[in-house]
Amino acid sequence: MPRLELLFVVLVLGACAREFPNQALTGRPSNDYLYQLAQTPEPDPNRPYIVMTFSGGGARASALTYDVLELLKHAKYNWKGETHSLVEDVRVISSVSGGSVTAAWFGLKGPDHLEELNADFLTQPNMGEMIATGLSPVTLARLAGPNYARIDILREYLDEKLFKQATYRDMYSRPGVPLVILNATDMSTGDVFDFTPERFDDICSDLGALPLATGVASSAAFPVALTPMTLKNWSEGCTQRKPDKNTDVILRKDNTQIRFVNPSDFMQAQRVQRMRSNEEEYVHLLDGGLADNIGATSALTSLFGLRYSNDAVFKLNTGKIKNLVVIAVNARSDADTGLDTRSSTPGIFSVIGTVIDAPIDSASRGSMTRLSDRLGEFRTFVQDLKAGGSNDGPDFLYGMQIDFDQFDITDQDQLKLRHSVKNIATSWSIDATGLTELNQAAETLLLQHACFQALAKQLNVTFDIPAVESHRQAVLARHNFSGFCESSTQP
Amino acid sequence: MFQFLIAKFDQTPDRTVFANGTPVGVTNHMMLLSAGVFDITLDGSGYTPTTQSITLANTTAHRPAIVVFT
Repeated sequence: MPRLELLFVVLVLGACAREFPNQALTGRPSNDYLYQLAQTPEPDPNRPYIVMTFSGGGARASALTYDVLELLKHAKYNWKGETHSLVEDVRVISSVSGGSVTAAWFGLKGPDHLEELNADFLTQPNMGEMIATGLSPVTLARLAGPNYARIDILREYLDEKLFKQATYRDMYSRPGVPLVILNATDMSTGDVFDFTPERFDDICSDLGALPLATGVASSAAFPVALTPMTLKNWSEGCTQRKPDKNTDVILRKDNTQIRFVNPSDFMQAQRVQRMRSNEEEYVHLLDGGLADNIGATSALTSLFGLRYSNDAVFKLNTGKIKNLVVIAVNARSDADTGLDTRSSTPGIFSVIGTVIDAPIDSASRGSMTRLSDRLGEFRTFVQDLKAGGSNDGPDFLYGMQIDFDQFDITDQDQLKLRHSVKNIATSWSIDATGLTELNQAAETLLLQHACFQALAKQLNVTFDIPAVESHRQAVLARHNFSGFCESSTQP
Repeated sequence: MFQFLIAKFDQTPDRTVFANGTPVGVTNHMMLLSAGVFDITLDGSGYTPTTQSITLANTTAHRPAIVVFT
């Protein structure tokens, strides 16, 4: 492009008013209409109610979570005379960054079109194409204007290449769609910003109109490399909005004890109030990994909080979920930096890398521990309940962690695989070898997990892919750990 | 921390119990809730008081918080 034309484009773009990717909520009191679109039937209480968390980790996380979903899709069991797969029982997915690509794709397309993610995204040279786009003169000119930033390179790429302009309304319209919660980090508070109807009520914005790619890109706005995604809070003049009764009760003047009884809920309520009163006029979002790289926070809220409309608390308390399964997929890397073998002072890039990565790793460990602790607490609650003669609460509770540290390091093949997958760089591209290794990792980690073995035994699961079923039988012959899973909630 | 709550109501059938407007269980059965403050109401009408405000903390399975509706 000639220089004068380029300058003209820059000036025109620079003169434009700021545009935002999210629209105001108009003509409706809330985003609840999204929950009505799919008409998803209530699950059978005795079939598994599966809650999944998908971690960040670029395409490494997208691929690992895709592989786990594929395995669940081929894990078949018979229920009341019909064949089902475990993937049909996935009711909640809470995801971060690279895991959000898979979560959003699964939400939009469902199990039948899962494999297209592999062809259309995982095997593509995404990183090279995005860099080429970022360096093109047109992009450089757009970057000079107020309505385009580096995060938009990722957003547009995902929108055009994968999601094809699909919106949240499209996702919520798919029958059987689980509650998919993509998580980003709110820069002003450092808290999780969940892309849910309830959160968009807080900023009086229409979630249904938002492109899925915007949610995924926000969840994956890796600091420094990408700019934050900025949403506008449309709360000013939002007079018809449905009140948030939970927040109103918590912040009521006579409720002076809440700040001591549950400081976390108190802080969240204050945050919701700030958004609803438009004190926070704009929401600047970075990668969800900064607040919680596992997705545990929103998963726990979906199970034990009063915020989302999936009514899990009600279902758990009234025996409408008898078989609770929580699967946390963590694609955490552990790349060998070599820092601890050199005496020289680390350079500026090493320091920047650590400043970004260390809090994410630390938050991941904390989130995983919190998830595990809360499930343990819940198990104790149910055991106490049943000890008193009640039939309420789940009969089984399976907690699974798919994590590279769960390989059997006494097995040389697994030790080698563990080293390989932990060293796959965090990027939007993975080579064929890396994809194969991640596939092997997902299969091995799932099949040898004590709680997956126990769940498979309970439901008499078999895989409809002969190679995977043979692998399962071989694993069971060598490493049958099902007895180690404390799944029963009987006291 | 999880807390334990029972909403007692002597009429049958059991009614849905709401905490801050969200359904959380049924009357006369133990319910799990996170610690916090709640306005407890029941489905339908014909009960008093219409709302019971409660702070849930320091309960156990053997010593749940109890709210009574008549």
